Amino acid sequence: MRWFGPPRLDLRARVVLFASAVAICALLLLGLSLRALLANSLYNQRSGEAVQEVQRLISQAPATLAGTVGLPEREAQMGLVQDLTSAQGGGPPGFKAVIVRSTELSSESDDRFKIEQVPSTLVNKVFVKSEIAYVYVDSPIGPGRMLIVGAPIRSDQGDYESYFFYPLTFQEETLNRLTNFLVIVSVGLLAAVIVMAAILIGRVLRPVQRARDVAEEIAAGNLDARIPQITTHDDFGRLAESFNRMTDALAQKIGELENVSNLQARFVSDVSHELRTPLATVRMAADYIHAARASLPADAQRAAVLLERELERFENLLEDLLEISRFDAGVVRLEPVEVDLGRLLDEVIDALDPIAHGRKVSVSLVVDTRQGAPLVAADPRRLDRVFSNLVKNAIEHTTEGAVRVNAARRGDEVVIKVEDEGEGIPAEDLPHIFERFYRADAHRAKTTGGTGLGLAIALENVHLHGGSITVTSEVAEGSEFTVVLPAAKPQAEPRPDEATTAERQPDAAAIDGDSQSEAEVVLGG
Amino acid sequence: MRGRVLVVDDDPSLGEMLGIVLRQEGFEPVFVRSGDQAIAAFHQAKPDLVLLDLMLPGKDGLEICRELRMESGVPIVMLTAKTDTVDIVLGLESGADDYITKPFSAKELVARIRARLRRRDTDGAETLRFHDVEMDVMAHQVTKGGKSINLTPLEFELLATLARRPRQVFTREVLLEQVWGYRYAGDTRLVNVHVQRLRAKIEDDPENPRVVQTVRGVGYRIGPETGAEDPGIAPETGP
Repeated sequence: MRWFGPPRLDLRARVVLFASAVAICALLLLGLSLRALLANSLYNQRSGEAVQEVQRLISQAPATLAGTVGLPEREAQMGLVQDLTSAQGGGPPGFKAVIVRSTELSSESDDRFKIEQVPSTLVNKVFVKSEIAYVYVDSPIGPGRMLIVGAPIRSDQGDYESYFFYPLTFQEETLNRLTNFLVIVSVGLLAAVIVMAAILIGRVLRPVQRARDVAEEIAAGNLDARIPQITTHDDFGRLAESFNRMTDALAQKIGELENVSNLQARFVSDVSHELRTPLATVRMAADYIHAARASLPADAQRAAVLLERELERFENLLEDLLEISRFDAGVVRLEPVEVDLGRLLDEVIDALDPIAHGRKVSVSLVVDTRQGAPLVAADPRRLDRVFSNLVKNAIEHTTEGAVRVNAARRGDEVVIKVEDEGEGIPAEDLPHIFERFYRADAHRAKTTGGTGLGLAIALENVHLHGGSITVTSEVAEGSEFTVVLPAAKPQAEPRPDEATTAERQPDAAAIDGDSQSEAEVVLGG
Repeated sequence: MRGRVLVVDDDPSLGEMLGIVLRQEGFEPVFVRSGDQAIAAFHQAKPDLVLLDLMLPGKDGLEICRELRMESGVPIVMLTAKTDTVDIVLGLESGADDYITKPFSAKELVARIRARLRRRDTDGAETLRFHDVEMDVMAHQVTKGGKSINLTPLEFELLATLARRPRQVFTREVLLEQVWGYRYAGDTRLVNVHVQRLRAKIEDDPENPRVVQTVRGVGYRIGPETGAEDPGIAPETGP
């Protein structure tokens, strides 16, 4: 079915279109041949009758001409014309006009008809070959066509030709009526074909549609949907069977996968519990040894310090692994509350103050509330974790510089940017930094002891909140992480007039008493 | 600060290590390995605090918690390996005062225990009156409409903290610091759950609280008495 009609057209329309095209061709062919056949026999009949009449008429012509001896040629011809037209017995003649011609001149019964209207082929046949012949021409006196029958007249007074103009009105009217009838019948038949085709294809397609509905239902999540039992054993019956078998298999597979997912979630939970108890003992033991290290030999003292420090790292790694496993198992559920990101970021930066101070990095926070407070529906612990990770990374990758955190509401979104003046991330690493255990700075000595899962977890958490996280970076210039979260409903309406004035000086932090539109907190440095 | 601590935990190593830490910090630990023996051990040892593992062979930690609460207001600190929201909230609703997630450092553990054993210094007799509630802080006694009410020490301190400054709104963070002794951000669910438990004891209609009111988006306060106008903050419920 590909080879006709635009392939995007609905199957039903295509079938109807195809059927109509075939029907139109067949009807056209039939109608045209029927009309030609009928026209042929009508004209043949007419010409036969006309030739007979002409033969009869000219058989008396020599006698008429004999009576005109002595008259001038013109009068003799007029007499002949007169005689031919004034029918003798048998009713009026079938012709409309007659022209008589001798070598010198010609006369016509009706001056609308001229000898020049007679085609030369006919004249040749009559004049040269002296036989009765006929030809069809366009009517010189109106629409339609006429039959001209030409016949030679031989007489003692000379040779004449006569041309009789026969109208074809009756034949043409009959043909027109027939054509009209054929058109009407064709249109009716065509309509019938279209309706039949539409009904038929509808019947054929109905089970397909039912199958489509069921498929949609399955796609929507109802794995129990099945095509109703088909009793027919045609192609569709077999299709329905296969379809149902396929759905059974799918449902079973999905069930198994769900089971595996549940098992994994259980496993994560169990591992979590089983690991935590011994780890609690180890942790306390390490704390104890660490606290009592003064009484240990020098190497053991160092061992106690390493034990304590690496245990911390181990715990962080375990936490991160369990967290990412929970995401993988799909057991993380968001229980959102309204969170003011301005406040949350303030707390995040506050908590990182000691690290920033230690690295001589200043951290600034600018909250732009011109389009409303940066409120989101979120789990504050998870967001705390995301931004702690981003800001901590920014601080740790900056040596004596500034880290800028911006939060702003932009329409239906809250946009948070964390910018640093650090060494930046090489372009080849950039697409991979959200991957697990990917270290952009693999060549550098590890100094910060991150788990390698921080950004991967941040990404999962941001996705969990329906947001996105992106990064741009330039080596030696710094990096910028952008988090976009869907905003919660604003508490205050945006004030457009204020927004336009503030636009001109975007860096100006306007602090006005209790309604602080932008606040800046500078830490460390 | 001395105190007897009943440690209910099935892991022998953890138990032993807890013992070392607790003894070093001047506590007197008593151990029980199985949930079934926990209540009996509690009766025998009469501890000042119970350190309770949630997952135990025999009787479940939540069940022990509920049974202890029926007869005693002894501070209970849960040891939990689970970080799932539901488990922690269930534990708190069963009556635990606080929880600590494994693995924890010795410092964290001791801080939590100290916070729960700490007695606020009271300068002589202090009596707080609000609504139809009367609190004798010195004697740790509460009456409502003349009838004595049994509050756990934690609930008592929570109510006293709110009542010392009636009508002032306390954020959950402030309550976590003043009542639970968290110097850094704690779990605000601790406050939510214990306010519910407190309301169940002192409100005429806990579903429609008038003594301890929620100020939406801020925190809690002791509400104004009936008839008193308070245009500042509209109470969450009540006429």
